[in-house]
Amino acid sequence: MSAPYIPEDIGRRALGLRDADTPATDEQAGRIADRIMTAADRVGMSVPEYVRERARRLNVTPENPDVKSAFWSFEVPHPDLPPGKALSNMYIAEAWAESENEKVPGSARYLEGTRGGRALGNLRLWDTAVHRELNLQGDEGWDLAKSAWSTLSQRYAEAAKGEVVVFAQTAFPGTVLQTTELPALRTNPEVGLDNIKFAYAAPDDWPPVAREELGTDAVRAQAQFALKDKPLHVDPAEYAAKPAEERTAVLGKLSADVAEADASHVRLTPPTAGTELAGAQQEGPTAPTPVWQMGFTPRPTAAAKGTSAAPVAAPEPAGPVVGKAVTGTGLG
Amino acid sequence: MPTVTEERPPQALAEELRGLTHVDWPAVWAGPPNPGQALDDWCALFGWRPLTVERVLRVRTSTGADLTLEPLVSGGWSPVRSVTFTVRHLNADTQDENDLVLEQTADVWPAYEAAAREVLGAPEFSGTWDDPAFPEPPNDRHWLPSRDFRLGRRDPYRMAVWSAKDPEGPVTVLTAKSGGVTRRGVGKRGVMINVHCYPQDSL
Repeated sequence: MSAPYIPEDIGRRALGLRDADTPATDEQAGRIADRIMTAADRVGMSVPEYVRERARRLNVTPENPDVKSAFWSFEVPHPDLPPGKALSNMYIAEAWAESENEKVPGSARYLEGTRGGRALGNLRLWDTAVHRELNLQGDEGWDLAKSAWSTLSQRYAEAAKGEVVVFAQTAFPGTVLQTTELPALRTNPEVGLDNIKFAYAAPDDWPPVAREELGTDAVRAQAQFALKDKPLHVDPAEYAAKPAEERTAVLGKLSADVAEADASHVRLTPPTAGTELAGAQQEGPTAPTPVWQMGFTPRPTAAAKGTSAAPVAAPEPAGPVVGKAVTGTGLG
Repeated sequence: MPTVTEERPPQALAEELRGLTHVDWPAVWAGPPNPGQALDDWCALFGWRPLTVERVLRVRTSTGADLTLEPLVSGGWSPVRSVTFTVRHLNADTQDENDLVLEQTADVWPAYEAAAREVLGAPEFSGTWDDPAFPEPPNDRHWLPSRDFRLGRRDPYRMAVWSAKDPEGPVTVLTAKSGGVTRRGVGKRGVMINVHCYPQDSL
């Protein structure tokens, strides 16, 4: 039996979070840049030095040590969005964490919602208007945003404990999830490979044997399935065409390659003395790990209505889009 | 002496703008697919090559410009709010040169505006930061800065605006914008000549 789709209440909540999120105007960017430049000047650092140092010091330690940490990458199509437009998994991770924390306070978190994540987010480092106001040259603004967020992401992954949940189907090569967070989680003695769980089932278009053997959390937490010329690549179709003993050899080589790569992984934060090993018994409130298909329940189309075909799913009751009424983009 | 850290000649600006006249703008505003073959194919439709895999998509055009496709919301890269690239970046070497970089940018501005006119025709507005006809933003989320911000910071120092005849085409904005200096005047100023393309319904 296949996993259920992402629940509609999570989708609605995530859409509301998306609608409330708007890029900085030039005036906001000016004020943000002013704060950054003034703070950097006060401590005698350049802007990049100041921002990188700040990312190294921001607090991403959970207040509840048993909190479940969420990670995310990329986007998911949503039936309420026009064709071609998608909902970032960041908002789904945020909506999931909010929903779990309403049930059990302090049971779930995601990077951008931590104290450190909010502080770094307030700097709007991905905004070109902020780059311009800071007078960052060429790629300097992008390099700064990427390195600051990678630093915070790595520290967030190193501070995680027990089971963690990844809101993505797979890890695309070159993303922060693949290059920074998964290595940090695999080598975190309080998480480890066994505790990395994917919220979404493996892609439907993989052959059944690939879904069964490559679709496990452990393989998806190590391999990438997109780019042949990048390390740790496994092609699901080629894999499925191999006999069993060759498939075993592929997985063995993958584990060896990952072990070799992880051996050179350098932690940014030293592990706490006397910490328990991965898989140790959890105590305190921890959110359950979702297991969903990556997508939302398809809506019946107008053309389908009035035909004898059964609807794909019952229409959802109309619900408010959180925040939309008061936080639209205002453009136009 | 101020230092030019990035410079593409005015003719290169004209070439990039000519390339953008062939872009399927509704497809660009809708946003790119996730990375992989689908993204490569999407970029290839416009003669672009992707440079990034997440957060903000940047692409290189066949004529060498690095375009930034700024998303409307963070966390993903669709829909696209604007397409932006820089053709010139001049930096003060000392704070004493902060006014000089504005003056030197003003000296080269007419050549860049003329190159844009070659492709886009006469602009619907062209002027300086204190021009009485400088357009005002229709709301506080608009890409045009408020009057107070513009006059208080002399920013944008120069601006020219063209709207495509096709309603699905872009509003193209050539600006000379400065940064690097706090409100109290601390820091070394840099001035960039940038091109921004926005959907017309955001004007």
